[in-house]
Amino acid sequence: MTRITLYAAIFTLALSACDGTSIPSTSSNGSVSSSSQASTQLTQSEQAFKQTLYPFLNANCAVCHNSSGAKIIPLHSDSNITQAHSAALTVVKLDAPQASRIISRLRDDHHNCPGDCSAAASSVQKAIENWATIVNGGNVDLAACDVSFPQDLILLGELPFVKSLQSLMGKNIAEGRVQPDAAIKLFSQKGNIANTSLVRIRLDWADLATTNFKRKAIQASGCLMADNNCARTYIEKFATRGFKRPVSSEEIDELMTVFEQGAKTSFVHGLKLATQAVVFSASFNHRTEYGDRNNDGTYSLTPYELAASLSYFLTDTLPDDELFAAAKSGALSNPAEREAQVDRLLAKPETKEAIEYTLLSAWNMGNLFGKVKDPETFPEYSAGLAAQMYQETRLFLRKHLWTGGINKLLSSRTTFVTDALADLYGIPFPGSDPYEFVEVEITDGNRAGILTQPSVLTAFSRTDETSVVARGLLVNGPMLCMARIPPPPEEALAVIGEQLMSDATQQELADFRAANSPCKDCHNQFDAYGLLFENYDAIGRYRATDESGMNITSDIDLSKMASFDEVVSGVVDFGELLAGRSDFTECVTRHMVAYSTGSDAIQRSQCEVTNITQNLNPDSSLTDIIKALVKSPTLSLRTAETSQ
Amino acid sequence: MKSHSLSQLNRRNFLCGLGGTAVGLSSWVQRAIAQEQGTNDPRRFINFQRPVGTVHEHWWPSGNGNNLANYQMSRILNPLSEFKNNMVVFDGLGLPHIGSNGGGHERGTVLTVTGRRSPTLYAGNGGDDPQAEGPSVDQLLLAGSPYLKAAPVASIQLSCDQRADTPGEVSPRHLSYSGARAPMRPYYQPLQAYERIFGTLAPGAGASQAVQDNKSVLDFALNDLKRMRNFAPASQWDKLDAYEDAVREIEKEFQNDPTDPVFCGVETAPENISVNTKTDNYGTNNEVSERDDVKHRRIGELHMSVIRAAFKCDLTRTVTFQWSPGTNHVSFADMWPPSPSTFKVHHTTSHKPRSYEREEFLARIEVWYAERLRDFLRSLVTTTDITGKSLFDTTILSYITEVAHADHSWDRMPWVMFGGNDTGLQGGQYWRHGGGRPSSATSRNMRSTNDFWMSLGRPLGFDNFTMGDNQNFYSGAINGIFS
Repeated sequence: MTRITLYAAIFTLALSACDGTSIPSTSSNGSVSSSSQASTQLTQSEQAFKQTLYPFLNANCAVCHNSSGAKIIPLHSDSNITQAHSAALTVVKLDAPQASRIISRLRDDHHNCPGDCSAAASSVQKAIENWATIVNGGNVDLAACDVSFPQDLILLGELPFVKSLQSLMGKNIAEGRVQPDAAIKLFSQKGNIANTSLVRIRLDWADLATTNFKRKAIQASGCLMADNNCARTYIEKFATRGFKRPVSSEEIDELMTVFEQGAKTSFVHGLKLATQAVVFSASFNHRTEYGDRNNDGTYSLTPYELAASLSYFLTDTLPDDELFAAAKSGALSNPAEREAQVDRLLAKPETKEAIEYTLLSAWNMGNLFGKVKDPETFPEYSAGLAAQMYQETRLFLRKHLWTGGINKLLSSRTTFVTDALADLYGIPFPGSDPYEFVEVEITDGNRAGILTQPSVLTAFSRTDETSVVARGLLVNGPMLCMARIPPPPEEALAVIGEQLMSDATQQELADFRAANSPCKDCHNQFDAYGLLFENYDAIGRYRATDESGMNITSDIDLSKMASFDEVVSGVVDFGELLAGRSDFTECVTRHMVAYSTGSDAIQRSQCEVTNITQNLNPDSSLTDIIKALVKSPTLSLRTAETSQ
Repeated sequence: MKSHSLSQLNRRNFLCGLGGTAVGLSSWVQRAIAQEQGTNDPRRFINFQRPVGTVHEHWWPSGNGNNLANYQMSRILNPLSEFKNNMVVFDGLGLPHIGSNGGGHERGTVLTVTGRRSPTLYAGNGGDDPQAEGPSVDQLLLAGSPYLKAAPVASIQLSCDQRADTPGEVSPRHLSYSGARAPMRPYYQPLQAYERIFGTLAPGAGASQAVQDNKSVLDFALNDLKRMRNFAPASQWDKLDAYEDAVREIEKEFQNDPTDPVFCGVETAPENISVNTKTDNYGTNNEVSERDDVKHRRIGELHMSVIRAAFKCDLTRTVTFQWSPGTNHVSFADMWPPSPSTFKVHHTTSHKPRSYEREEFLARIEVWYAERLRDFLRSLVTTTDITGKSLFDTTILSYITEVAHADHSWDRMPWVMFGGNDTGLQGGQYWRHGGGRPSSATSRNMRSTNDFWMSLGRPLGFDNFTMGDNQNFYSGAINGIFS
């Protein structure tokens, strides 16, 4: 068995473990018809339901609408397909899919939507339409991945805006001003709109960037004398970069009018004013994903749009000269050229750094900044130590993300320590400078991979103790992209308050939640993950006993969790278990798709993600994932506009 | 509709102003003339927040009926008792929280100001940071009210502390949204707010050139938007409209003649304050090494002086004022009863087990915030506007908080409405929910806080002002609050 086959087999087993039913065979092209594909155990409608609507329900609604969860009627997300199918028919109209109750619950009532409610409603409607088509004897190519992202005008967030400005005018323009944090990124970019506050701030940035402009103007324009032709050349070049596309003569003429207004004061002031006009304009502050229309009604992004899309995804800033040249020549329309551009950009440390921050943002590692700890319990903790923790994880990512399988992030025994971090790990520091990071192998068996690093363990803990809930939710959500967990029901808030105020240990609190409704309905989905971490205190030190002196039980039964059947002995074992599966890789891929498209609503199970992951193997690196993504229609194709 | 003749203006103030700053007052005078010609009187709206709810035992007045005159003001409200005839205390308001996600203070803040469900969380940001799904009450009022529209700076957002539980958190830091996921960022630095209101241009020589320079930049932006519209799908026009609206607002600000802050009542520009950005380490006792409350108060007072000056010269009419995010990281001295010299963090201390000390700490801070509001209201009373009227007469101020109590409950939200004599507020009332359809989106049959906001429609000139994304989230303006 090849590695790829083994990987696929593991993935298939994992899927089949989700619902206790077998995976039916499909034709080689992935199509399913009413006549021949139904499984022997399931009716034709049940089989169609399972392959169309059920994946959405299972991923998003199973915590509540499931007989092993909160048991909220209808149980359309039940593990038993037959039961789920019957329940789904109470909220679905196969003869008029758009009138289905389940769609209005999302679209109109905003009922626990996974991300954008309109998008979720559209996905569900499409799934019901496919289900109805199969039931009515039609063919649906389920393997096909319809382009799901519409044409869009995307407002640059503050980070890409400032980085774009710095790309054009130098990094030092932001000196003395609070800059957007590169380690905290916005995944929801679709549908964001400007307002007076934002535009005013952009104007302030334009003003700041042109402060003390004389020297910059001469450097940027090369105009040593007051020469309007030279000014025109500078303005055209600056606007072309800033607008991420060629500029028209009309645009240049108008910018020259701005220049001439400023030139009444001085030549440099004219350049300054024209520069401000470019930076303040909507063309600078947005990027487009409109594309050119294809015969099938889809839209292929133009080479310039592709360049911007690729560049903001990978670097959070404007296309550089080479990328812009590739757009100008039309080469970027070729997926192979996009792949080559990825190779080129990834050779730059700043590109890798930007993408590493993207992943750290997806994992909510920004929570570490500003995290406070009880100084009596953790006197060694400080903002400086937290910064070292974060840096350790950055170095660890740099080592394992880009070559070899990214699952090494879950199992590697090596890491990077300073003197203070070595102390946390309980190992001698081998370096000479206590603040220099040194790569070490930790052989005590208590550490493996990112999940046992102090950064994660500290960020997902309380001030004075650990947090089973925060750590469990981290694994369930950002690390594995599993079913979304709804917030606690209102009737549970009083109980939660009492529990948090009590002196109970984390284990005792978890026991309480596991034994009592409504807590257990949701916490059974993730508390076990959190309990795996109990051997690590709130700043990541290994411990054998908890705050009350009780021995910590490290054997945790994961059989109640989606996709797992094992009893695992602590988070080291869990990391190694995950390292042999595809869940983590799929989730990382989902994060990359979400960031590149600006759509945080995308699910790990959606075809935009699975079309990429199905071609990965255990040795696939983040480079492989990114290359597959930039070559895919997810980056390059859009659908016709939809009214939002 | 009332109007005031220029001849009725307080001549002494007016001439004093002209004498002080003969240049740069033309727009101010133009607005005065516009008023004389029958344009709507200015009315002003301030959404004024304090964090972490209240201590119910010390909040609710005691007495009978619905006339505050028959009530003994509570310990927390007592500092505001001199405004008894110009305030309505509400009891029985619930935040319509059903169907929303997010942390107690985070969700509470979004729901408080937008009245709409917030089902979607931002990635990261502590995992409890909900996205606003629509504009906030101040922006909705501004968009539709003939009384609020005319000022050069359409609205201004101010906050006195930017620290939240995680650096990127959006919801607890914003009281104002122009639309879904479109927060209006507040000024933390009073000097920046001052510069926004009064501009960075000095009146006099060179101003005209600068105005023309600014105009040329804005003209290009507007032409650029026209071109973008030509090739944008219709579904994207709303984004271009939003950008254009913002440019037009800024254009309006630039067209306003530079106004002398001294004439408006600010003798000197606010000092540049080192606004806190880092959270001091605190432990289980929530103590920190330095107190913040002195700086907190100073920032608040400077912001208030900017508001007052802006109102005096009619430079803005819509303000949101936030003392701090609901997860308040400000540390107070002199509040913890056994040892006043300890410095404790407001929000984290609020989550300690209930005790005499905790309740006393929270109540004292509530009194502190009420005293600051009292001082501000007093200054509005004694400051006159263009017509010689007290600023307070034409100002409506909602005094709100994002939770009812430190336990994150949203029943019996401790909100108060203040209004001057010209706003139509039927002051002196203790309103208690006993009529109207309760909202099913609240718990325990509370009247939706959206109904509180909808009551503002009448004094601000709306035929029908609605808050909330469907009728489960409101039932209508509360009768008898405004005449």
